Amino acid sequence: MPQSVLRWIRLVLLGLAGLVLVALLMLLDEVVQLLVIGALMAYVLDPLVRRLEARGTTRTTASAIIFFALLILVGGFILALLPAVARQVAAIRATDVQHMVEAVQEVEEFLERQLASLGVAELGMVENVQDFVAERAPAVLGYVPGVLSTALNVLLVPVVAFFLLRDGRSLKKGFVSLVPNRFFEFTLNVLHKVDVQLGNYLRGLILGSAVVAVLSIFALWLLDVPYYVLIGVFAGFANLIPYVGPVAGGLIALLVSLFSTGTLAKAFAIIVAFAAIQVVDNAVVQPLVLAKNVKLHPLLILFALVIGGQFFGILGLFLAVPLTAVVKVMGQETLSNLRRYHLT
Amino acid sequence: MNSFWSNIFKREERQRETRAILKKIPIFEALDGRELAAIERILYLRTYDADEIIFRQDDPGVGMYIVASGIVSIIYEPTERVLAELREGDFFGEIALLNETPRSATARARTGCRLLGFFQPDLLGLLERDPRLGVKVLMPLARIAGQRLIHSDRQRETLQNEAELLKTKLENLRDAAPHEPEFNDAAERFTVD
Repeated sequence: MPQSVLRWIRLVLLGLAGLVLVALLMLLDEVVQLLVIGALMAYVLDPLVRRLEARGTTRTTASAIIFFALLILVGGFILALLPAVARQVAAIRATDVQHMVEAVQEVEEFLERQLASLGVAELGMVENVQDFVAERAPAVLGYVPGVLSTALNVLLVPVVAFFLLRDGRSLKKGFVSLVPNRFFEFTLNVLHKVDVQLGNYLRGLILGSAVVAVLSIFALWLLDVPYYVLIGVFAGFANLIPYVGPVAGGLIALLVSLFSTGTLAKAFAIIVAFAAIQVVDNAVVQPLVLAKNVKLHPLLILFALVIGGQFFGILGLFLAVPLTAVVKVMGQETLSNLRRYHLT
Repeated sequence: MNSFWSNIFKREERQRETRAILKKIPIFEALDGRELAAIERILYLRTYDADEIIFRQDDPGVGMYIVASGIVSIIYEPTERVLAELREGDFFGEIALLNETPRSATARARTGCRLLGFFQPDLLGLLERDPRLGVKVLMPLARIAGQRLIHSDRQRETLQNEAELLKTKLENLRDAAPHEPEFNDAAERFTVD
């Protein structure tokens, strides 16, 4: 068979393999998400385990210490904020839409006044909001089983992370041992380069998000914005998404403040607080972890967000950027090393 | 069940064998049993068929290999000249442990071989996790690199002296036969650097 035909067959097979992989990922949606989050967590925490090992602790003990420390930290955080979260969730469910309607009415009247000269008479925004709420309210109950399974996942993630932390090195060694001789040094080199580039980037991303979440909760609590914990946690997650994320957190806070009070009195303070938090993240946290060594084109980020959101929902949206960075760096290093090792 | 136990015994035997080989390598000779075990955990055992390439000249180097069994030829590419033949307990490529440099020659298995690979990322990891052990490995490695440098400096010096001698001889030949254009050309082109 001529070489060109063989190459086409190989390409088609590769494409099919890719499709099967995506299908499998979608099929195993939740399991995959669990593994991905656990792996990211293990990867981010690995330097801490190594630091403990340098003090003479075994890998298993070091992983266990980090695991329990994490559990206590996250558990403590959740327990400390649980009453507030419970109140806030209850409040969201019980929200009488009156405030929201008043706020929208105010905006509508303002717009109608401004647009009157253009011949626009009736915007119907208030009716729309009321319809929307009436439609969505029963759906909240449908979330309960979802919340339960999410809670189970939240517990399983640290367990996955613990085992990956403890056995990650032997897993990697086992994987590399399977590679044929011809690609052996190449594989080692690619893995090392990817690790050097991604390690700091992912750690910076996740540390940055944690800092933004904690600072946002604190700032919103100071400003007496309702649902401050939920908005803060959202702002932290949203911070994983460049450009849009930081704005989204602030915007939600602004909207909630507007709908709950009916005025924009706190708008300025909220904007200043979120801007200050961004300054802390970009000027203090990121330089500290030397995280700016992976560059993603805004268009690439946009595609990643669309695909992540489309196939894996809200979690896919948050994981899209870190995973795109992983794929990009891996692809880049693989290609450049294929050339350097004369394998192309 | 029998194969289970024989597997375990085989593994232990192999471990003993590996440690005996490691103990003979200058880089690891100062290490005790526990430290050798830690090193062994980060080594890769690779098996090569006769004539299989281990690495090629000019490929980026990421680490060294220790010959556990078999014979490895070190070959200088353009001329295919065999620079060395390495046997059990010999090692090669150790400079790549310190810095990612292009391989200066090709390594090919002359017979079926078992090699132990020790690579830079794992050395860096070891330095981070167990700095004392890392330094114990790094010091002899630096010493070997230093000795290599002195050795190649001397070789360069000898070659330079020989080249200068050759140039003088060529110039003498040219002076003796000024009408021979070949000598003229050669003496002009010959530079010692």
